[in-house]
Amino acid sequence: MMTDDTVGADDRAEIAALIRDSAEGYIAGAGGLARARAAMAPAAPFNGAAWSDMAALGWNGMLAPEAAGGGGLGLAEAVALHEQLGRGLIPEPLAMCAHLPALALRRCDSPAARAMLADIVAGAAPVAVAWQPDAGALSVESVALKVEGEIGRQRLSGAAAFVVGAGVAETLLVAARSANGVGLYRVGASAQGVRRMPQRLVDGTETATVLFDDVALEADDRAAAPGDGALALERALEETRVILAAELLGVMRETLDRTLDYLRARKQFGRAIGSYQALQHRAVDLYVQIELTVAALGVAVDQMAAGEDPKGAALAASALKARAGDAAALVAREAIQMHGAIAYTQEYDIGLFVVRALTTGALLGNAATHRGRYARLATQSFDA
Amino acid sequence: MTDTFETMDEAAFRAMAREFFLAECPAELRHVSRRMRRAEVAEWTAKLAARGWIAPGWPKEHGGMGLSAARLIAYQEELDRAGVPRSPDMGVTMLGPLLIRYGTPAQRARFLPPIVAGQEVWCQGYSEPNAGSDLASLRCEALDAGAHYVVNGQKTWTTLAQDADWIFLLVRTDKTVRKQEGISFLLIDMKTPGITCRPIRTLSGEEEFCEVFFDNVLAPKENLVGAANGGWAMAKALLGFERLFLGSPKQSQLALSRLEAVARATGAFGDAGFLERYTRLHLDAAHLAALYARFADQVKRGEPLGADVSILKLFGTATYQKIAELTVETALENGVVAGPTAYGADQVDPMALFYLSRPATIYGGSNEIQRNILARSVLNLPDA
Repeated sequence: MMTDDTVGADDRAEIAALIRDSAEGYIAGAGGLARARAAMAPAAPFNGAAWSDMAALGWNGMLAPEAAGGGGLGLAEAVALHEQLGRGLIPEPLAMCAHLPALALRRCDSPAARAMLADIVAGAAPVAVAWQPDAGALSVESVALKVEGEIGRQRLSGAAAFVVGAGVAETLLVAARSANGVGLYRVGASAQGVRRMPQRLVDGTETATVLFDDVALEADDRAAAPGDGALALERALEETRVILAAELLGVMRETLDRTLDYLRARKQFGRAIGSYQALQHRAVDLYVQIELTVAALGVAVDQMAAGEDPKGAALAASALKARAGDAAALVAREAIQMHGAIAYTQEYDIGLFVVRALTTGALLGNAATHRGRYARLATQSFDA
Repeated sequence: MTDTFETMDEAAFRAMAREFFLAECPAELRHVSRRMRRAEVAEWTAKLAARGWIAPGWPKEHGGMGLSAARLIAYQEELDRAGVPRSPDMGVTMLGPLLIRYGTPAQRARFLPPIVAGQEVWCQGYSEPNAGSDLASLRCEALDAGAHYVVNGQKTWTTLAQDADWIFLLVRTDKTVRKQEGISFLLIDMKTPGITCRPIRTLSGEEEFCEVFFDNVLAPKENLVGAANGGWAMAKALLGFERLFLGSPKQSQLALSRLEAVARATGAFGDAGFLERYTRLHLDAAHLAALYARFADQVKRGEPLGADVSILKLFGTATYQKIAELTVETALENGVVAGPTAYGADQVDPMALFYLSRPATIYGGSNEIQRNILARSVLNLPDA
């Protein structure tokens, strides 16, 4: 992490605790789950005021370098924040449209990168990252967007799927391939030749497939050169998976807490249903999966802090995203069953947690996809 | 030289321990998956005793190594890594700490020195035919007869009682009070007339447990530890490191290496169905290790372990069993061949692994009991 040289471990823990407290306070005053509910309504508008408020709290730019006006903080602090955002089901795509681009851009050295980081810090519109060719793609190696021509006269073409925030972004950060590898480019969301085909996820998250039809790139639109861009974005994707897993941890913790409250309060046959061993034992199994997620999250944060080793980062991110995705889905399903029919109504809140568990579990690779990647990497040495 | 255990850095301490284990413990005794008998490890036990290393966790004044919690964990990990067999250790891990805390000076002087000398071996008489998970309902009775107690009844699942010189046991001394309040802690010489010890052959073919019968056995009153009817609280207070080590990832990691040997030799890694199951278990073992490390850190910081440590035992033993089951399955017909078979360069006995893994979810508080504890003490679910 960038702050390791200057800030001690105790200070880091204190910063994380402060962020956690401020997140709890923010969520308490954020209108509760009404915001998550509102975001799920068809054609719900983007909550720009909330986005600006979070920027004012320093969250949007927390991972941007201090030189760019950002917080200069690391993954440990982002994880502390996002566990709380998950608990509160905050719907704005902070991880995908502020942290993912900031994590990539802070590894780039260009006027375009600096300008985009400044926008993120300032709380300007979300930055949508276009790189993924299709569902299930995990690596920048799969990028299919193409950039051709000499610098200053380059043209961009191709498509990217599941571009979170594409509909509200003013600027896209696009990964595109040329002869020398994958670079990163700044593209105006309404530039000539850019077409957005919206696709909403079940929790209201706004995504789009974005088509680029011979889009003109200026010389100063290049945020990272071919090759450098691939390294920066690959690493940013791994780190964002860790942040998403922290959100999932918050979601599952809140889901279990609410379910336990229900098990204690709900009476049938004259006793609390939580006194039945069949339900107690199932609740314990959810708790075990949550604690395993905590442990996996700690390992991933440490791994990312230890250096830029791409294979180590991929293994840790995949192990974590697989654990967190499966655990959150299990907790969500069991929450429905343990609540009974009331959980199946839109009016009751637990369903909001279920859809968030599943969507965040699927973004940037679901559990099965990550287990597959983990298996390939972990058993490489067995092939010989 | 014992002064240096705590002052030398951990790496040096570990290196010293490892060097001793590898140099002095014969290779044929190391990494043996079954529990070895007293005679088999007698020479090695004598070497440990001569070095003063029988009782790593005891204070030096009682002949122990005086290790701190952090050093004790390191010591145990080095024992595991070197695959050193367990010397008979009930006296070291269970009785010694209890006598140091609750025993009289005369009891400590009589019983502690032969334990650290490796000369007197103890067994633990807790379980009875009708007192397993519900241990407090035990019935083995000790009647007050002046200078002696007269003991009648039966203990069972008494690990390696046939190798023991002495037994410490929980006995019923008052039938008129709440069951936990009528239990005392008594020490009895196994050579006392009226004791019959009958080994039980297990599924694996080993005589690992015994039934121990008491027929009018006279036990001198000076061998009562603590107050009469105060035995239950003392026995419960003993659960410390035991609960951590019962959840060690060691068994699962060792089993995983056996599974990998079988899978490599049979080409199972090329099978997508196998790979999926293997990867799940590989991740389970990895996250178990991460969870174990979190609890170990807690102990190293000097913090007491809470009821939540039960998740280690619960998840660790379940993972161990699943790995053993998949090993048998992956070996196909060879999986049920009696005795070890060659898999590449490795000798693997899948059924031995299977057998060994079965009681892990039963002993030390069955996994159902662990779930009860977690449901009530950690999740605060109500009693029936």
